[in-house]
Amino acid sequence: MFVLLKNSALAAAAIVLGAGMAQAENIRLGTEGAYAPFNSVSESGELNGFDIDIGNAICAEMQVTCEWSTHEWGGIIPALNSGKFDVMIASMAITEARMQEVAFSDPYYFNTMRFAALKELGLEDATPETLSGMVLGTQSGGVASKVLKQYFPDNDIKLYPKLGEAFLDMESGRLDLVLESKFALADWMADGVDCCEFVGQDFLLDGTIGAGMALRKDETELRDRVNVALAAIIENGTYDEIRAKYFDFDIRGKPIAVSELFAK
Amino acid sequence: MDWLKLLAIGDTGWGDELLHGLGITLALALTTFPIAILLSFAIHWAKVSKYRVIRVVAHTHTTVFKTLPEILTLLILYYQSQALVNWITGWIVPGSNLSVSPFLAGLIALSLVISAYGSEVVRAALNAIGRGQTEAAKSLGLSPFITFRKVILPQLWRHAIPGFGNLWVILLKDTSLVSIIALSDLLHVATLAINTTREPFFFYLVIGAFYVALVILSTRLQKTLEHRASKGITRMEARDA
Amino acid sequence: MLDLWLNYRDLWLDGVITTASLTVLAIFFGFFLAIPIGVARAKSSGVLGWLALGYVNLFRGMPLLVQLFLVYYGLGQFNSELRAVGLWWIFRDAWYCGLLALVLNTAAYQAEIIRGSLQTIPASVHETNAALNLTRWTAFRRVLLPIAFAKALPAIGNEFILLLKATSLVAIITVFDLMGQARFIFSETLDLRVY
Repeated sequence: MFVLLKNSALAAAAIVLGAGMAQAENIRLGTEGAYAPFNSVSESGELNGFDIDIGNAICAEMQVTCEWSTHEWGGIIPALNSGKFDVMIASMAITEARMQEVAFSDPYYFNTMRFAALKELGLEDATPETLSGMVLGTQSGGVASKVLKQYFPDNDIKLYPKLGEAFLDMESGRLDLVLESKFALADWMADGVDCCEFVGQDFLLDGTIGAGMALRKDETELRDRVNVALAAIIENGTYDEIRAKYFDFDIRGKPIAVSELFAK
Repeated sequence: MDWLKLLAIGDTGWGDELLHGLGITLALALTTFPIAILLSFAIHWAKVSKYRVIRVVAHTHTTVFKTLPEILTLLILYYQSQALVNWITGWIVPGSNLSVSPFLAGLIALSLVISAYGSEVVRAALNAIGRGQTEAAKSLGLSPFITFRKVILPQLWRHAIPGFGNLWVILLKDTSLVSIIALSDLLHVATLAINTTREPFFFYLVIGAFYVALVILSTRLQKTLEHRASKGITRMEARDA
Repeated sequence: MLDLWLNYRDLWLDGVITTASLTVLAIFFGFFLAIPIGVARAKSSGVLGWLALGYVNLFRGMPLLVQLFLVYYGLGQFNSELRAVGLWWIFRDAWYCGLLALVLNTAAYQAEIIRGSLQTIPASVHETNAALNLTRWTAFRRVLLPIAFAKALPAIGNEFILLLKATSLVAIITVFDLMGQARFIFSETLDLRVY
C-alpha cells in the first residue's frame, strides 16, 4: 500500500517537473492587486497597472513566459519566501529591514509619499506641528506606517489591511489625512473623489533606495537576469512607453528624504 | 436607480463576479464538509482508542482548534503549510514547486476546526444510541465493520443531523474568512467591487442577503432531513433514544 | 521568542485589554438586547414575533465579518446623514462600531438561547403562576426570567467563549485587539512566531 503510494507520488512529481522543463521557462510573478495605478484588478477580473506592464516587459526581454498571482499585502513576503511565486513586482520599497528577508532587484522607480488631507481642514502644509491632534491613516505593513509611527508619534494612527479601506475612511471623514504613494493617492483622487487634496511636500523614507522587485535571497542568478532585463528596457525606451501610459512626469527622480523634511 | 446596473452580469457590472464568488464560497463549503465529517469520526475514535498516545493527540486537536480563533488558525496554516509541503516534496523530488493554494489552506483549516466540534456531535449521537445495539450485533456474530455500517450508522443520522446541520451553517459563514488570504470568495469579490465603486453599504448588504438566503435554505433542508429521519419513530421512542 | 514578547509588551497588553473589554461589554449589552427579542420569539405570533424572527435570521445568517464591514464601512458611507442627526460620534470610532456589530450579533444568538429556555419551562410553572394570581409582568420578572436565566447560563457561557474568539475579527476594521496587535507586530518583524 505504501509502496504504491510512494511510487504514484514519485510519478506525479516527475510528471509535474518534467512538464515544467519541457516548455519554455516559466517565471511566476506575484503582486497585491489592490494598489492602483501600479497593480489592481479590473471589473473583468484582469490584473493591470504599471507593475504588471513592467513585469510583462521584463519577461518578454528575458524571453520567458510569466504567470501572475495576487497575494494579501501583509503576507506577501512570506508567500515569496515559501515559494508560492518567484519574483514580486508590487511596488515594494527597498528597506534595510526587508533586505534581511528578501533580495531586491535594482530600483525601477521612486515611490514618493505625500499626505492627502480633507479639503475642509484647509491645511497649508503637513508638519508634526500643523497636524497635531489629527487622525492619520495608511496601509499596515507599508513604509508609510513606519513614517507615521516615527515622526508623528503623538497622533492617532489607524492602519488598514488594504489601502482602499483607508480611502473609504477618508471619504467618510474618519481620517483627517492619509499618507501613501503620491501616485496611488493621485489615482484615487482623480476618480471622481473631491473630498481631499494634497498637502505638503513629497518625500521618501530615509535610506529607501526606491521600489524594487523582490526575490528569494538564494535566487542570485535570477536576480541578475532581472536586473539586466530592467536595464535593457530602460535603455530601449520600453520603460518610458509604459511610464507614459500612467504618469506624464518622470518617476525615477529621487526626491527629498523624510528626515530632512520633518527634522526635530 | 442604477443599483441594478451595478449588479449586471457581464463586463460592466459586478453581478457575474459576485456569482463567481458565490460559487467559490459554495465550492469551499461543499468540499470541506464531507472531509470534516470523516475527520470528526476519526477524531472521536481516536479519543476512545486504547492507545494513550492516540487519545492525547485527539484531545489536543480538539482543545487547540476549539480555543484558537478561526482566523488565527487560517493565517497560521496558510503561511506554514507551504513550508510543510516544501519540506515533504523536497524529500521526494528536490526543487519541485507545489504551491498550497488559498483554497487548499482554507479547506484544511476549516475542516480541522469543524471536526473539533464535530467529534463532539459524533460522541453525543453514539451515546444516544447506546451500547445495546453494538452488543446485540456482536451476539449475532456481525463484524465490527458491518455493525457500524448497517446497524449504527443508520441510527446515527437521526441524532447527528441537528449537530452537523448547525456545523454546516457555521462552516458556510466561516468561509468568508478566506477573503483575508485573498481567495476570491463572495466577500473578497465584494471588497474588490467596493474599491472601485465606493458603495460599501450596497455591496455588503447584497452579499449579506446572499449568506442569509443560503443559511435559511440550509436550515429548511436540515428540518426536512430531520423529519425524514424521524419517520416511524413515535414520540415516546424519540424521547428515550 | 521572548524578545517578541518583551519588545512589544505594551502593545500586547493593550491588545489583551481591548479584547477583554470588547468581549465583556458585548456579552453584557447583548444579553439585555436579547431578552425582549427572545421573549418576542417565544411568545408573540404577531408583528413583534415576525420582527424578532427577522432579526435573529439576519444576524445569525450573516458572517460576523460581513456584519462588521456593514456597520463600519457601510454605515460610514452615510456619514453626512449621521452627522446631521448628531450620531456620527458613535460611528466615527472603530471601537464603537466593532462593539455595536458584536452586540447585535451576540444578541441574536442569546435571544435564541433565551427562547429555548423559556419554551422548555414546564406547564406546571405557568399554572402555578396563574393560581397565585400573579400579573403577567410580575410572573415574568420574578418567576420565568430567573428560571430561564438559570437554564440558559451554560449556553451563554459557551457564547462568551465564542464571542471572545470572534473579537479577533475586529482587527480587520482597525481596532487593535490582541489579534490586531499580532498582525501589526508580524508586519514589522515578519516573524511567524508572533501568531
